[in-house]
Amino acid sequence: MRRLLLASLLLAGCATSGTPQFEERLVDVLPEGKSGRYYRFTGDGQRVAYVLFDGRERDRVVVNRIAGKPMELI
Amino acid sequence: MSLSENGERVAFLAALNTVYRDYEVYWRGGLADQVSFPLSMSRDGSVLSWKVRRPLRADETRALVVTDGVEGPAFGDCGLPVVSADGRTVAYKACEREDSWFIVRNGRRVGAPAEGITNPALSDDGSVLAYATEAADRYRLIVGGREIELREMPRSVFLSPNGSAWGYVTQSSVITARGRSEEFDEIVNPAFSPDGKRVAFAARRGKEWTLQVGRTGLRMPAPIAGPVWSRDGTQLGYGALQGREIWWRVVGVP
Repeated sequence: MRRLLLASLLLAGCATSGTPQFEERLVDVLPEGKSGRYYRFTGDGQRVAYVLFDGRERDRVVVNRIAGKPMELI
Repeated sequence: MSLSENGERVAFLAALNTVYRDYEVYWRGGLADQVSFPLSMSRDGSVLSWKVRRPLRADETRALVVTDGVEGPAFGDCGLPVVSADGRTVAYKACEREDSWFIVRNGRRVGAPAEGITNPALSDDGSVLAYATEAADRYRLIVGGREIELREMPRSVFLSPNGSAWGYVTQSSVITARGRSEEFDEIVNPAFSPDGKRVAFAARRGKEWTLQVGRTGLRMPAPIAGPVWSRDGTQLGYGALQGREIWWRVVGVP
């Protein structure tokens, strides 16, 4: 979670070989042992929604960190 | 899964026949219905549209598009619907036979049937419709009713936000009225800048991904979303996954 606190912090970076400047923002962190799919960002890239999988076909969780309401689907 | 631009509306599919909207059951089909994803959503999330395949008899299925819970006409098959950004127009390809496709726009057939057809593209206000057809070994791009002869059949077509500029994707290139891109192994999410003068897309050659703006390429990790233009056309954003971390990167466009 500590890293998530960086979410509001824009980190200035530099792409490889003298290419243009970019900024990057840590938006979310997947829970350990789970994977995500179907990522959808808001237009400003501030927030993300995605489907969270724990590896079992019929046990999947949709997480929307925007609303903070994880939902389990069977 | 679909998400409105401001993040206030979310919709997703579960158990093949149930559409959830803002975490509530919004539409539930018959037990044998199969909803295709992704669902299509207007920019503000107020309009939602999706494709359903429904058994008619033991040996026949029909396909239809449902928009905001209202079922459209059934066809032999149809494509995924496209909703304009303002939510006023829904378009998709459909057919009764596999060799005779047409476009349906707000419930009405558009244009002549063709042996092959791409999914349609819409301007933000839905006033400009674009798609490509294949008929009698001739390929055409139709943009706002105007026909443009092509040398090859596109895989997909796209428009600038106001519909004034068109582009299409072939097996390996992005093509616009201004020219043809280099060739790549994979092309993702081509999009015009708000003024319609530039095109950006993610491209893969071998294992290496680049963010392409015109003929300029910037190395990037494999994108999980985007690229998308900022409203003023000065920046491009895309999502990237690094381990378990979900990042949003913004690149300034000179």
